[in-house]
Amino acid sequence: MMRLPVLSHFTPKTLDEAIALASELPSARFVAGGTDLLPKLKRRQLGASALISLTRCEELQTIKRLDDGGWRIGAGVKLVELVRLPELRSSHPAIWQAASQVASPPIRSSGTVGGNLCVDPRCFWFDQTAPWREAAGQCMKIDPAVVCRVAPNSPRCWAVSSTDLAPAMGAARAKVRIVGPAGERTVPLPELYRDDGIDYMTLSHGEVIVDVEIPGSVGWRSAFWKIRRRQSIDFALLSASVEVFMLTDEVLEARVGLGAVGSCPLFPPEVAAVLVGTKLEDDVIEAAAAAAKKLARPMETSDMPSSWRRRVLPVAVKWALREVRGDDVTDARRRYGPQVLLP
Amino acid sequence: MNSPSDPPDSAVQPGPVRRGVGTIDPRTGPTNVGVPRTRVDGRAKATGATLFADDMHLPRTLHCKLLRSPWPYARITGIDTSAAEAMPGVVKVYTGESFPIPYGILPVSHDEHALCQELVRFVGDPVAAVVAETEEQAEDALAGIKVAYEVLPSVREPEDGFVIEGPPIHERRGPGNVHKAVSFAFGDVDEGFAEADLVVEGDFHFGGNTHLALEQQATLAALDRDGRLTVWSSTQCPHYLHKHTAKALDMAPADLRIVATPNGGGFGGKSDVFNHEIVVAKAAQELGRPVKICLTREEVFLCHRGRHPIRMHLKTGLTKDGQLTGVHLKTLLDGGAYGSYGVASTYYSGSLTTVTYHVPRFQFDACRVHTNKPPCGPKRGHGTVQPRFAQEVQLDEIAEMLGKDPADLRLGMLEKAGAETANWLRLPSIGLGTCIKNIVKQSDWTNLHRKLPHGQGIGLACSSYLSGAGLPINWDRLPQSAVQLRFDRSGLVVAFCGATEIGQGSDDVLAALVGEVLGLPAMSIRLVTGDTDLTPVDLGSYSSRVTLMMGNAAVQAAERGRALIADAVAEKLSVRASTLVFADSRVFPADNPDVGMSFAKAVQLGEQKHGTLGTTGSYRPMAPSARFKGGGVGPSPTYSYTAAVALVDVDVDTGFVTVPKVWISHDIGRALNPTLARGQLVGGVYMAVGEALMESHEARDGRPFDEGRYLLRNPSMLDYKHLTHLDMPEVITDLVEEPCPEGPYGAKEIGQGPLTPVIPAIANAIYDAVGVRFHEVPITPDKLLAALEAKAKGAEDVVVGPKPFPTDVPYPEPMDVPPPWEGGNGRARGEGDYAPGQGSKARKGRSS
Amino acid sequence: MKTRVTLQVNGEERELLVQPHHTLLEVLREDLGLTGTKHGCELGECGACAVLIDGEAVLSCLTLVGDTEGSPITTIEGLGEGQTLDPLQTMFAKLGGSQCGYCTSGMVLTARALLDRNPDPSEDQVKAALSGNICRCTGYNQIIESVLEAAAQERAGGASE
Repeated sequence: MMRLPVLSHFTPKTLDEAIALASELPSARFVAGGTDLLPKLKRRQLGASALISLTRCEELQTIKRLDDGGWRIGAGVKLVELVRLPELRSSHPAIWQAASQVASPPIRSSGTVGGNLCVDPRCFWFDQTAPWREAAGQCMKIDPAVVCRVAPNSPRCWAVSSTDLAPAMGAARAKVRIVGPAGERTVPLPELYRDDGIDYMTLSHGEVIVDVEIPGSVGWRSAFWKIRRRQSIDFALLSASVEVFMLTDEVLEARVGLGAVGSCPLFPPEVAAVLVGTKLEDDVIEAAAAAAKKLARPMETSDMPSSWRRRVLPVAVKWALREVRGDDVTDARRRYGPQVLLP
Repeated sequence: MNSPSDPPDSAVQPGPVRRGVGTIDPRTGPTNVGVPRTRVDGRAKATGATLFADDMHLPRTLHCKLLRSPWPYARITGIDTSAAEAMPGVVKVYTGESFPIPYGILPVSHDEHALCQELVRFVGDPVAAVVAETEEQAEDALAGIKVAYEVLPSVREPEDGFVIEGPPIHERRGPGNVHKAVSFAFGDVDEGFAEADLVVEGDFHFGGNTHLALEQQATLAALDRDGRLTVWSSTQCPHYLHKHTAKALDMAPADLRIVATPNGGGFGGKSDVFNHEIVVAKAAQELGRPVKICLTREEVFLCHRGRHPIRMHLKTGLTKDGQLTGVHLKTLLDGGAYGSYGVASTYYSGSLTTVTYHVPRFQFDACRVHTNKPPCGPKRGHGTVQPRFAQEVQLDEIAEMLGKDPADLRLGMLEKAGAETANWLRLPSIGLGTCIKNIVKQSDWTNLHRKLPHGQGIGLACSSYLSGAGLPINWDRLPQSAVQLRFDRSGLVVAFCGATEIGQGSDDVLAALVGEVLGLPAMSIRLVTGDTDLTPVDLGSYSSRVTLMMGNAAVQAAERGRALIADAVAEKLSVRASTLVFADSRVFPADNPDVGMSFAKAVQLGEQKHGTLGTTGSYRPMAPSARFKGGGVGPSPTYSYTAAVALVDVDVDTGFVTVPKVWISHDIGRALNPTLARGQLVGGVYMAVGEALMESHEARDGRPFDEGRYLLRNPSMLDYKHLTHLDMPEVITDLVEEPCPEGPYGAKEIGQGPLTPVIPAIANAIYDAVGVRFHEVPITPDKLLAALEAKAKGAEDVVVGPKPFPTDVPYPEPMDVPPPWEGGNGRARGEGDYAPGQGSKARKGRSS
Repeated sequence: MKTRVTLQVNGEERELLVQPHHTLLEVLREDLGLTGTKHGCELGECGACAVLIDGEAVLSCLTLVGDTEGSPITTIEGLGEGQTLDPLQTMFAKLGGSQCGYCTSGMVLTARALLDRNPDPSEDQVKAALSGNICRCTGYNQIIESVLEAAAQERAGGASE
């Protein structure tokens, strides 16, 4: 059996206790669902002297409807709780669709909102066991003295962002509330991330995401499309989340989130701009998709070649836009996301 | 088969059964055979009570971990285990020095050592072993073993292995890294091509994939209270494990007990004898404490023994009305670092070409080459899946050229029951015609083929598989399967057999057939299986042999017991034994049921008259017609046949292929438990769709800094793609039951056959859907999308296929073996009988 | 350094000394001897190790034992009552839902959680709910049939056979 390394485990009951513990233990890590962290610890991709569970901290368990119809959702809320929230499904379909397609059902029963936002960027060269990586000669993400295996001439790591919630929540204009030893701060979700495969989050040691505030969506329509090799378990090969604000049939405002085509989720204003002032006609959709394709820089980190992922990203963007336009996308959903068709 | 009124031949004849036995009593109808039933081991599995190897626990067990080579090819120049030995909990550290005796599953390739001696031959080859108090301590201690390597130039592709620098991967083979090269001419194919109206040639490639059984291999070894060594292991072949462990440890086989634990899936991946099994056996023996190992998932990928990647060149000639005139098949197998079953795989890569459609002239050249990658071996369909892919795709091309419907084309060229093929394979029964007709009807084939909208398509393919290899691996005249029965005066019947339950339902078959003869429900038969101390030899759960061979042996054993019991009961009741019926756990005269008795009472009468009742039954196949060297791989008592139709849906924007539905019709002879039979059909389809679209066991693409390390690209369950619930098609199953005289109650195999035709059916369906031909597997979205883009730009006849077949494969001169209709006698021209192990020039009488 | 935990497993309270870095999978199998819970990968990629915690199917290989105190855990050994099997178990054994049996524990428990929440699921709902559980033998169709038949029997109020 593959097992965790020897480490201590703490189960604090409050967030303050958790943060205090983290300050005392510089090589401790927070753990919530553990579905991303434990496999990496078992493969010795990371080390930790201790794990500090956030599962018992009530402060992270909020699910609250806000006055503007938005939501405050605690970082410790399990993904399955979102899937079982019909009000979220109707108010913020893209976020619900993203939550519904993360990994597989048992992972969604443990995995949390915060955990998914913090998913470590992935790469074939990195997400392997210790003997494999030793035989391969490691990579930059393990040992900075080694080149990035997918971009040998690049000074930075190109591991791919693998969170599904971030493109959807970011496009929905979410803000993230963070608490740490230095106090509390709130940032727009895109600012959580850096475009780097190693140093991918702007959280410092001891900081914890407490909750995500999602503004109300009256007038907004949204959709999230994830393309993966199999219809369950797998990470995204690419994803697209679109949000359009319409009072009649004309787009007044738009936001787009792209996932798994870079080391961080992308929220390209130039793609959203294509949609504004239009009725999402076919040629507009084509143009938006083409604009998205230009920005995608997937590397050979994943199951399918990057050339294919770049070609197929526009397809996901188009389906998402067709969906918000009101087209019947059931057949395509059966192929890419049957989960969202379930009652 | 005899009527049940007479004592069956099997009960009367003194030796093993050679043909099919078992008849359902027409007076009562079946007890178990053909009745959909709860499987006999179902309760244990559904309650988590089945003990798999890693579930077994003994007090004071030590744990073992293996250190594996980080280099694909290297010489070990030094090993220092001192630091490891000093680490907490470590009891012993082994290196190759402790395991000098080679072994291997096939007599011709004893090329493995439990721990590498001087050379490591693939990344993952075991080099050392730590035995410690806990698994974690053993794992930690691996870091304390220092190994010095001299890296050697390694080989990744077979075609780079004909001429090499540096030492060959195995000595005394060759040229270069060639492991095995054969060539047979059954008739003159060039004559056949000259006669043909149409000659079609093509290059094909079938990529490697692996079994991915859900249970990781595990082994526990311990001395029993008498100081004898017992090894429990997740193995499909306890008999071979017994033989080779005894050899490797220089023990008398009688001093060693092997128990095959129920396998959590096998598919051929647990048929070899493995390094870890021998290491823990020796450790337990030396240390006097139980020793256990359980492989990690990655280690299972490294053990591999999976489907050989095969390059193929297929040339087919036929008349314009669809009769084959000649087939010439060339294959090149990537064998990986060791022999495994690879010599057999080499022969299988061509030998079953002739069993579906009549081939009057057949040449087949096959070559297996070692590479510095995990060794390939048998995976479900063993070497026949790859060439059948080429054959069925090419037939689809041929059908189009001839303007014929693919189903009709095949129906017009079917072999006939009773035929003997060009390569001397006897085909007792062929239900393929019925399969094709059924499937054409069930799928509405004629209204859909070439008529669906662009992006949707339907494709058809057929294939066949053996019901057990006709010759054993270790050639002798001993039975290949045997069953012992104990009849207790309580009425309990206990069946002992060496066969191993790997999920395929062998336990259920054993219980059902014994119960059928004796009129007892399958669930009432107690089973003891896979234990070399307690059970008579069955060669193992591979080659789809168990239903047929074990089944026939079981029927013989039960009929012998029944005869003894009937004799005693008849005497007591003053009736003729042939009037007695065994049904509903009673024994009674057919015309007077009320004077009958319980089965228990009947056993007591039997015991009273004949003494304690115990019977045996055994089976050995008839000798094959093939009498030439190499002719031993291919023959079988009988063959199953399968036809499949796949419906596919291609997303032309992404290249994704969905398979909404598969129809599959299988000529099974007789479905002993229709529920389980159907499970094999659906399971075969499942694995086939996975292989066709996504399963791939491959080494990383070469890159400058890989330095030839040939690491596996995807050794995890996440990255080795296989179908989830949501990727699986609907499957419409059809069982064709035309009983075959060779099988028990007429039954043939179903464990391996159904997988094979589905893969070319999918390829043919994709062609129907979007006009792109695939000559290679797996068919992945990126390849299909690129092909669609090429087509959109105006390319015609888009074929996604491999680079041209190499022209320098060192095949030998073809062995000239005239087919039956050219006056052949099963021998190579001018030669005597070939008897394995005795050279080709021996002249022997026809053995039986 | 071992730590004391009290677990509620199959309705039984067990006080144990465990290694804190051990997952629930390891504790169930190695400390409690409950080997009905299987392991196929230990990385959350196959579903073989699924157990119920608070009625939810979760992967025991990714669950730290310390996080399970206070929550009722159900393993395959805890289904059924004495000699009477859970209808899911009966149907898996009868309708081909189980071949080699290795995925069965996780598959049955995940199905149990589904039926407890939704006693009348559609075929699509069953497929989706089980989509994190891999089977290499059955091709899934008979698993779905077993679950649907068990559900039908439970709705009809029948005890298992």
